[in-house]
Amino acid sequence: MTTPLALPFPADTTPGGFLLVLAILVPIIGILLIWTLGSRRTELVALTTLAIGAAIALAILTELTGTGSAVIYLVGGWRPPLGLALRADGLSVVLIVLTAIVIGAVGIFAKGQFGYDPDAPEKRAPTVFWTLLLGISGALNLIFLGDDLFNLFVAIELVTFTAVPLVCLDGKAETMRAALRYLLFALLGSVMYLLGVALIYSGYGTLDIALLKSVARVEPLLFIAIALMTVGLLAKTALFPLHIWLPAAHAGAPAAASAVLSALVVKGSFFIILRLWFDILPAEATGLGAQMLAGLGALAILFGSVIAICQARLKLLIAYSTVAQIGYLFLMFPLATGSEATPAFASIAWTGGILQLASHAFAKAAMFLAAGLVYDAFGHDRISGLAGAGRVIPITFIAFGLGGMSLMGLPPSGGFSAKWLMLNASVGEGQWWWAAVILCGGLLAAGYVFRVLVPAMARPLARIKVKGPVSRRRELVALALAIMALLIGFVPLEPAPLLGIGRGAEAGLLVPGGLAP
Amino acid sequence: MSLLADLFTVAAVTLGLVFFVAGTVGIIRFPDSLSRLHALTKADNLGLGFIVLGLLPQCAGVFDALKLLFIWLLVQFAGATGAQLVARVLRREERP
Amino acid sequence: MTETAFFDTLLVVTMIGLAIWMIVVRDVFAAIIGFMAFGLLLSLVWLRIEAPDVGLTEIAVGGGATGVMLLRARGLASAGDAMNAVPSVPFRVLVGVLAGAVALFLGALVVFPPAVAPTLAPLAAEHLASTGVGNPITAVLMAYRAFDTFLETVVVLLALIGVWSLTPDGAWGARPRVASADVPAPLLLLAQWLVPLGIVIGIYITWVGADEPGGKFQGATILAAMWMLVMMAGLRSAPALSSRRLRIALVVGPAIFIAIGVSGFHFAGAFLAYPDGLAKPLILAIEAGLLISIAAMLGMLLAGPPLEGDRP
Repeated sequence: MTTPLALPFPADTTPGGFLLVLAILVPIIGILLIWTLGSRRTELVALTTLAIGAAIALAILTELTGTGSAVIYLVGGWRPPLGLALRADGLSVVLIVLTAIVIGAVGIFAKGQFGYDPDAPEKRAPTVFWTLLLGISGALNLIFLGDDLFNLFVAIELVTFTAVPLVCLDGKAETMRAALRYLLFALLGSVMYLLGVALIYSGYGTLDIALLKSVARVEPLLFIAIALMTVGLLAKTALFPLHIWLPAAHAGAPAAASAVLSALVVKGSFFIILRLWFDILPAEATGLGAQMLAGLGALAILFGSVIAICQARLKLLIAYSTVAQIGYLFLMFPLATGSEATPAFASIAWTGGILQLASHAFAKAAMFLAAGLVYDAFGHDRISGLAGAGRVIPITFIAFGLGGMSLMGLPPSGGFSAKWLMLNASVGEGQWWWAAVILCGGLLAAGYVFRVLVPAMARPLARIKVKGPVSRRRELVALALAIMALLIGFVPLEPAPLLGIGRGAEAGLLVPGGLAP
Repeated sequence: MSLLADLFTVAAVTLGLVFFVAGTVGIIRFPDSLSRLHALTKADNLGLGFIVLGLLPQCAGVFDALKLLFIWLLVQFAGATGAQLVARVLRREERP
Repeated sequence: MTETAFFDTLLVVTMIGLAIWMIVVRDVFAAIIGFMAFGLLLSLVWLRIEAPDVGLTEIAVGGGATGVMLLRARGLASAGDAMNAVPSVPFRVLVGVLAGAVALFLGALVVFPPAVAPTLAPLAAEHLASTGVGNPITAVLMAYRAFDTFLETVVVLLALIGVWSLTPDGAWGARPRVASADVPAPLLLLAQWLVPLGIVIGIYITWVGADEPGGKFQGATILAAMWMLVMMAGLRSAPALSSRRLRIALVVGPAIFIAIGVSGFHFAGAFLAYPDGLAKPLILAIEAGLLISIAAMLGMLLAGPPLEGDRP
């Protein structure tokens, strides 16, 4: 039995559309250059590429806010369902700019690390690190821009093969084990995602998300496909109880890599889940599943925070805090419920969730970089041995503390605004139990942050042994990221208009019969 | 003519299959590894040889027929080498 | 029961049996051989559902290259006792539950099949003429979804870099060791005689891919296998990681892809669009570059990283 295909993609390439291609292509060109130009120019190529990438991200933002509608590119001029579309709306552009800032900051932090020396023969660690850093930036951009589910599969494969080797960059057996476990989870996740993609194609004959929105039906095939894909992506996002690979992996990687992995990489797979649930699943079909996701999120918040408090090592503490903070993101699913009058993306929970994502990215990157500096200064990261450390490297600990403030949700910080919006949403939606979890999580976060900060800032009984100097540039990078986490707390506490760009009106175009230019 | 060709195909392919079955039985039943290896290569040589021979009359053109023969030759070559390599390992394991 | 249904049932039952055996069997070597046989049977399934392109890839990659890679990994790991390690009980339970859930989901779909099954095949055929190629699979891979193909080659490149990242620091830039200390005479003979033929076949499969089943991925896998044979027989050693020629071979395919793609902005109105009438030669140019790069990537993936004690 045959049925007509989904309608052709209703929009053409927009004037600034080529920027979307460049956002993905430029980092890949950088990788090819690193592997052919020789070690003399590795850092130069990588940092230049990151700078160009940041400029492209800003250009996309300008284009989007200028026109007030989505930026679209039809690759090869082929229109979905046959071809592939790239599409930037307000949400994707926020994440692209976020990625550009965090990866750029990490790039500045990592300059000169891993024994890089332009005059020496090529070395393993710096060459691999810079390649993978560029790879992650390109892969994440593809995740945020891709509108085709198989294209997104290629993107998550790119993320897997760039993120996993970063974990064992130091080559120790212990980190290799962590990397291998991460790889197993990531690959299992990919297989389940791909299975879901195949099911969706068999049922609807298209993989374009915008087209799927108009043809998706409430039926077992769609549920099973989305369930498979969601579980696969949860393994990559490390939502409780699929988080067991994360602490060892994120704590074992070099600080610069941990910052990217914790701040950005886990958000990539989360972003795809968000698109599956809000951009494909019909709104009436999400109720129970949304409660389940948020339930796991709540467990992650409580469990991750308690385990973080018990950690003896600073990097593991920060890694477990990531497990907890990821949990907050999943509260979006039951709270950002749309209605006829206000769609999901215009709700305060939606803005709150995205704020949580961004503020955690800045805060966590700052904290991991700070932990790396602690290691540089003292040669270890045992929390019990850090009494008085804050008096030796105050800027580092200020960065750690400001990041921690955002995690706790103290005002003024991005974390505060995020949690405040979510609290309001849970009260407004009559789902008070999530509010209890949010408040509890804030208190627990205060527990693990102050456990490090209070002794570090106190006058020590014995002088702490300093192993080496700490680069002022690196300290300032960590501080700048922490300050970013504070600054985004100053956005108005209401649904952000930027997040709505390219969502409402165009989605209407896709209703069958409503096809208009 | 075409009936004759079809009969030839059926006969030759059947003969080839007989060799494959015999070879399989040999692999399962023969007592030692070298004899099993012998059974395996026989099936490859003669079994595939007869099947290719039987398919030749069914080919659309000379080029297709040559391709089939070529495949048989390649399998001979790879099979012989593989058997030699396995036999070497077996001999080495027996010696100590 | 018709003959084909009988054959299909036999195939499926054999494959399920083989799959169970692979999980149950204690010996890793036996499991790998089972996996390779499974790849061959799976390629028959692809042929049965009229997807010869996928079938070819399955034989080359699933039955061939992956199996060789697993065997090499086993050879390296058996030095320690990593191969005898059994995953912990909770982990096995987790995997079992996940696999069971997936099977349950898919089983449910057999009970509630989707009402309709739309396909893009007619649409793909409709635009075939403008792509200049005759095989619709190639049109999908090189025109409609060329972007995916480009990104997939980047995935393979990054996988290789990931493998290389496991090189011990002192060995960076060295040649991976592939040949054994004493090369058996039959292997040497095979390498000397088969390789020229194999190269021809690899290029042929890439070339016919434009109009018939085949293509660069399958062709490149054959080339990589031939290269591996040469290295194993000790006729040539593997290139050093730092070799300039190797680096160029690795990036030439993606670089040509990017160059033609970007020139599409100007000459054809879109990234990765081809100007009228030039589609076929441009696609062939990209495929030629990719053949070299993918063969180099797969060959070096099979060769693995240099090990402790290797010196550049």
